[in-house]
Amino acid sequence: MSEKFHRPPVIVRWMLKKFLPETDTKYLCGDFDEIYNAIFLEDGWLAARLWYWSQLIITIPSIVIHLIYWRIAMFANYVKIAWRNIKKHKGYSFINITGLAIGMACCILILMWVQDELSFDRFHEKKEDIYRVISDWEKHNWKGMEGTPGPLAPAMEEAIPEVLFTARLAGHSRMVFKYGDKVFYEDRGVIADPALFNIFTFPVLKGNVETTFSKPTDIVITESMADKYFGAQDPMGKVIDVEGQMATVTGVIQDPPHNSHLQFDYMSSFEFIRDLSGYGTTWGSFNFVTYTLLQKNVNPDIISQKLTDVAMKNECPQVKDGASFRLQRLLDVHLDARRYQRAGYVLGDQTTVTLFSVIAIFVLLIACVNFMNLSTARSSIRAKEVGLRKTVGADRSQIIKQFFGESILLSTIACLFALILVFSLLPRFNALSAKQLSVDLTNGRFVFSFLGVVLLTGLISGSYPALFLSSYKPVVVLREAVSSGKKGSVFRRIFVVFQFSLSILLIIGTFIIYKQLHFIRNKELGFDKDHIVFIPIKENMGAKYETAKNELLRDPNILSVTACWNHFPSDTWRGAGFEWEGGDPVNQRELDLVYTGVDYDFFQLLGLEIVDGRPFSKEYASDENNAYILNQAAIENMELDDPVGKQFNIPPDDRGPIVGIVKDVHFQSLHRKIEPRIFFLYDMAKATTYGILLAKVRGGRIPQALAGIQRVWGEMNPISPFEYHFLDETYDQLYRKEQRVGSILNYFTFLAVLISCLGLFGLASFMAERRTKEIGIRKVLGAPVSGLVVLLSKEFSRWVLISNIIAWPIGYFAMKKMLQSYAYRTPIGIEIFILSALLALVIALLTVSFQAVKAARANPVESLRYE
Amino acid sequence: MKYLTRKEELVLLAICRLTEGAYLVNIREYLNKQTEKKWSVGNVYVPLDRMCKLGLLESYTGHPTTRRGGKAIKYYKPTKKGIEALAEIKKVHEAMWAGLDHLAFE
Repeated sequence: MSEKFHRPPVIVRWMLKKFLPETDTKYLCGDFDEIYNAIFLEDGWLAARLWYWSQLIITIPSIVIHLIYWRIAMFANYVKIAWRNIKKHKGYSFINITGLAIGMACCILILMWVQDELSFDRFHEKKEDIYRVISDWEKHNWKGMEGTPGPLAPAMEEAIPEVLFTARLAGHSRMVFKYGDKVFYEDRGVIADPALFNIFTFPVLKGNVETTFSKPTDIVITESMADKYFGAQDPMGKVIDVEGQMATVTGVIQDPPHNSHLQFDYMSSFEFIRDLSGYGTTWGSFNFVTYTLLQKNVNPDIISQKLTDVAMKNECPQVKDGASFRLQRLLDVHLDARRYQRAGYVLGDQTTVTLFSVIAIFVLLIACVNFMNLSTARSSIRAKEVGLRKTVGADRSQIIKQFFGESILLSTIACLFALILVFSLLPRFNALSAKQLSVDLTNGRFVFSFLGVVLLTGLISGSYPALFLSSYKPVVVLREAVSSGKKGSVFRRIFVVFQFSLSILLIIGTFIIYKQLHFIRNKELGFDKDHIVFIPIKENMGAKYETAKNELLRDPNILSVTACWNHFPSDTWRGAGFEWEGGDPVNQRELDLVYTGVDYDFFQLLGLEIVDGRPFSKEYASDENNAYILNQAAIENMELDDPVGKQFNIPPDDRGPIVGIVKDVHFQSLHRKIEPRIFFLYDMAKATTYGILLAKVRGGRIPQALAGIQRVWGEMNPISPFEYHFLDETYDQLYRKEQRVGSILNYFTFLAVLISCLGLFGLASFMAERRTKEIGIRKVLGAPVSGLVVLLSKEFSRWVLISNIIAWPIGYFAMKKMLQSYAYRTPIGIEIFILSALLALVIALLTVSFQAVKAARANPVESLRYE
Repeated sequence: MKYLTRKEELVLLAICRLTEGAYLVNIREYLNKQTEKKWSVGNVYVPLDRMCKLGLLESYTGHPTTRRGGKAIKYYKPTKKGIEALAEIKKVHEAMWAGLDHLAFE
């Protein structure tokens, strides 16, 4: 027999070695090698190899079972010890679990919110290749305006081969829909090109997409709207009366999901707006939103450039003026939404998403820090256990595992409470955030992220105790009593400082957001918005406007009546290409103005100050035709001295003199700077779709005035339901989103502070407990209770003060960045920082002093008796 | 007390038969031959290890050989307790088989 040794495959041997029982590895390896060699000699190389491999494979199940068995055995022991610890120290466990539960619940709620925000528009099948055309206006420093000129879509489809489809969209104003005895206002309507269905995934339930819009009066409605009007009947072919026009239902689509940035109830043909005088369909009016579907893998930047070129070729005045087009990915639309709001569009905000994610992490971290602090503070109690475990043979990694196990157990318990919290808080949170979130335990993604949160919490909060406690040397621990250690207390200090820095940061943030909201709501807009009621001009109200006005003015409770051609707090119509006497051609090309068509008395009713010239007046018959009033911003842009009396021309040819200059006022959200504006008299008979009638009513007699308005309305419009709004409320609503963010932030800040205080409370009680003897001796020697309270609270106050110093600069820069989204912002005053500092200090002291007082008032006999 | 399992019994018997120098490889060979079945390494090792732990077997280390790639050999021999356990299981067998021998020869 050849004595030559044949070596089995190295990798397999290596793996096999890993699996073999530790004590006998070397013998077993030898045995395997021997058998391998025997087979090698007998049946050859291949058989030996196969045998060797098969050995590896058949070993695996037994190995796994072996491993799991021992893991479980040890795990069971850890769980038992952890459970005993929880029961033994009920107070600490309560603090830990409550803190973790609240922290996790916050975290989960916020993550659900964030997840929802991120899910927008992801349901479209071709989402990767859909883009929205937006424009950047260099001159005004506007970025991402969603308006585009009407002719752009067909032009780009023709000129750029990569463009597969384009669809234009415009919003409908509120319309009255009538079918049988069912009469409703419908707000959420869009005018769209049928190609919309080729681009987006809005499943069509009934009707044929190709032919839906064959007539201008055809409309497509959503499932829920079909249900509202027709119930069980087949909606196809039914005729709805839309403000006197007969619209035929030619299709039914599924309701757009809530996480679609496009929200609408019905859709009508683009032909429809041909009849509407208010809509400019030239290259100069940016009234439409354009969506496009590109071929796969086309670089959108190149197309963007081509778009601008197309517009340039077609002599779009704004583009000639420096505006440029750009493609925005559909997936970015929701979160990139700049503050250009149009009816029916859900807006998201990247900053809020980031802000909330950061807060979620903060709150969870604070809860984890509680856990770390309390477990290290009590380390002396656990030290003996660690010592003993090590003596009987546990190595460090096992102790580490044990403590991680313990923290994961605790976080699992906490997660059950967190789930209960989430379930019970969800309706409230939904109301607060205006979302429809729901806990779906069958959703793998939710369960997965939930478990992720639990595991993460366990790992973070267990990390420090695991590493710290496992480092104890058994000899030291078992021989002498361990103090909780210098090292430990340094870390504890850092942790408390860290915790409070986060809390103070959140307090500062909340204060500043509130201050900004307060600032916005109370900022002088420059005109009088109180006691003004407005009603949309509907039906034949436009035609009868003069009559209605006279009728209304007869009511003693109504002081003044006027009208405007659009809902000026949110809508803007703009134009460019003006000319004026003495104007520099460059200026003339660059100027663009917001059009505002008004009735007489507009300026008087809103208390707008005319700084030069005069308001429109019936005394000047020529005002009726063409006369203009500009605001100061416009005059400044025009660089015109002594403007009153100069001739002004709106293209193509509407010449008239400038009769007055009106003061700059904030007609729109304070996110935006005051824009140049032009006012002219407008015949309200034409303003049937968008116009509003404004009435100033006598303060204190509002209900009577409203009754009067309703009576007049009823006489003129037997069909349309009466509706009214208050101007000041409308302005408040412009900031609803901010208010929402503000109140959510408010709640979470409160919770973060609460959790921090829970931790501090636990720590303080622990410290007081450890110092009972010291306090006893001090008392015997004559220390007053007040002195002892100061002694015990002093250290904590110092920590909180240090936290302030850390939180202030971070807070300052973070808030400065946040406020940049407002054109008009409140100053970040020092008072906010001082207030936050005081608040944090007071809360911390209250928490600590409760324990301190308790300890200081204890009878020294109790604490010293057993010495 | 628990009786030996069948596997343990076979392995222990094999060790007794091999007298000196019983170790995993030759125990397995012997078992393969006698039972006409393929014994895997694990099938032999697990009873060996278990019986060592129960004190039925004792082990001693032998010198490495070239065939084994220079690795030491772990030899096994039965302890007194091991022999007793074998005797006990034999007694049980016989008691159970008494009067039923005809079953095995049919």
